[in-house]
Amino acid sequence: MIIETERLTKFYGEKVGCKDISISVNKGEIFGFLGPNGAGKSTFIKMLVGLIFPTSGKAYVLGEPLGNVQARKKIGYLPETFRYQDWMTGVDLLSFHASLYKLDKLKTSSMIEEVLSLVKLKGHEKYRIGTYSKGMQQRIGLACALLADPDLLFLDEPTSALDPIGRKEVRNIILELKNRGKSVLLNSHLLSEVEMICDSAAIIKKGSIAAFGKMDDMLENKITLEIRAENIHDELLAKLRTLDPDMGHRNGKMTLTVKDNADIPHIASLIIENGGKLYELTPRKESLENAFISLVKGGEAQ
Amino acid sequence: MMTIAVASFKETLRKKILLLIGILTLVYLVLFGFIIYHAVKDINQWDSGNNLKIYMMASQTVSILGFYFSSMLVAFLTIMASIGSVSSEIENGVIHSVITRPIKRMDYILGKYLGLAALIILYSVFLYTSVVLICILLQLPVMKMLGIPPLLKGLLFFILQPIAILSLSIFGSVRFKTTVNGIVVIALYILGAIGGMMEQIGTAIENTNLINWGIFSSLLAPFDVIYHQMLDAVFSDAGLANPMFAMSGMQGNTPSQWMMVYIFVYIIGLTALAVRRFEKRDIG
Repeated sequence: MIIETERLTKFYGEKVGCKDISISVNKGEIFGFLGPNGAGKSTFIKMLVGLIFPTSGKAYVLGEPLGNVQARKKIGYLPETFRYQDWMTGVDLLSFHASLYKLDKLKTSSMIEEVLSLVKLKGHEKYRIGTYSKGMQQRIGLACALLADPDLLFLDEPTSALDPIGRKEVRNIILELKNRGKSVLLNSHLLSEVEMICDSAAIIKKGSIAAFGKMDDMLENKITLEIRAENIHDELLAKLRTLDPDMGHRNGKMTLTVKDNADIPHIASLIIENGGKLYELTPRKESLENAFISLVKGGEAQ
Repeated sequence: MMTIAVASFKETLRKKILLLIGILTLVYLVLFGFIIYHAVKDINQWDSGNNLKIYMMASQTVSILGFYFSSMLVAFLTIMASIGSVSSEIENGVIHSVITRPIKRMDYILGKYLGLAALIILYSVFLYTSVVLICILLQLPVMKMLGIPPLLKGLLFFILQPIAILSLSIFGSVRFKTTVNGIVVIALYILGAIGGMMEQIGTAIENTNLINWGIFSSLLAPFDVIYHQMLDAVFSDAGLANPMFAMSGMQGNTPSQWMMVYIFVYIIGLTALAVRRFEKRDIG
């Protein structure tokens, strides 16, 4: 495991930052960490990177307990705030971070060139950070995080200041890192982005884990079927409602939600065997956004 | 630690406050030179061989004006450069990408301390040397009586004062927000100066309460004590009384050896407390 937490908890006085978080992230995995504002995502990441100290629980990052300075040599972190010394130039900032990472001085300039090309900031490195746009500041922050060729990368909202092209470029960088066997913990509000690139994810709500697992498992838990059929009589509807009591039915169109792929042929036979004429049956996997909203709203209803 | 120290040094060099201090220093040195020039001219007119006491007093007063206001300028630079050294980086989030790199939190604080101390020492040496050179070049009579060793000893105490302020300010910067720290450090600096005066007045009128309050203030902010120690180091070897006391007509005590020991404990203790506090602090 590249990250393993056991009941990791943080209280700010009486207030819960996050509570009993137990997750594990495999090597080479892109892990999405999701939750509404104030759910405790940043608290969790800040504990893992050593900015804040847990109240209780344990965590291991790269096999080392939290706070191990040596382990940080192989960890990259892009903070959500991405604020940097605005008086430094891009190359000054990268040299500063190379020095903090204690990188070999002979390799430093080639590493700086490499990360500048990767984040598409070549040609801007001689300008002061203070003159950079927000998007450029986020890119230079990503370059700093990538500088030491980390085995594990923490990215806290890495595309919040980027345009759609920039977002795609960052997604490609993350996927490229995965191909090189690196692990990434991605905290993002852009659920479509997480859905596209993450292998696993956790959804945190009011400081606790609401869902955790492989992305496919999380999304396949619910499948929405869009059905177009004729001769749908009350008896057939009653049978279908046993599978989904909240089924929708209007003008020959039905919408059912099932939990298992095996239910799909069963529903098709049920319609046909009961005299229905089936014209269309389209299964749609639940989007991460729907899963996220139903989990978050479910908690609010309670 | 050295990476942080170098960055801290360069960052302070680029701050607007340094430009302001530079302009103030220039104006101050020009004015000081002007005052010394006229003082020397007047002293030479009075000097008929019988006015030795008057011209010694004038010379010493001008020297004190030089050292006292210089030490205030150094204190001003120290406070302005250091009050937000840690807290402002926490407030604006710059620290997030720094202390998550493979460095110890202790190295971050000591690096900040070292970078600022280097700049403050350079400025202190420049200012002290400039004041002494102006006095020597304009042939202020009292300078002939002072040797190089007491002047060097004085320089060490001149540097020690901002170092003590820096320790307090760095500790405050770890503990408080920038604005609060600024208020606390400036208030303590003023308290130290008032405490020094209270102790002198208390000694002059033999009032134990005033002396005790003065000592208590000096324990909280021993900056004025260091300044008096500096004057003592410069003038006592030449057989001159501490001119600050002579000027005010008061009797004063040279700070005790124990007080000097306390000042070193104060500097090291506050720095250690800053490190300890920062090592346990959540950076939100």
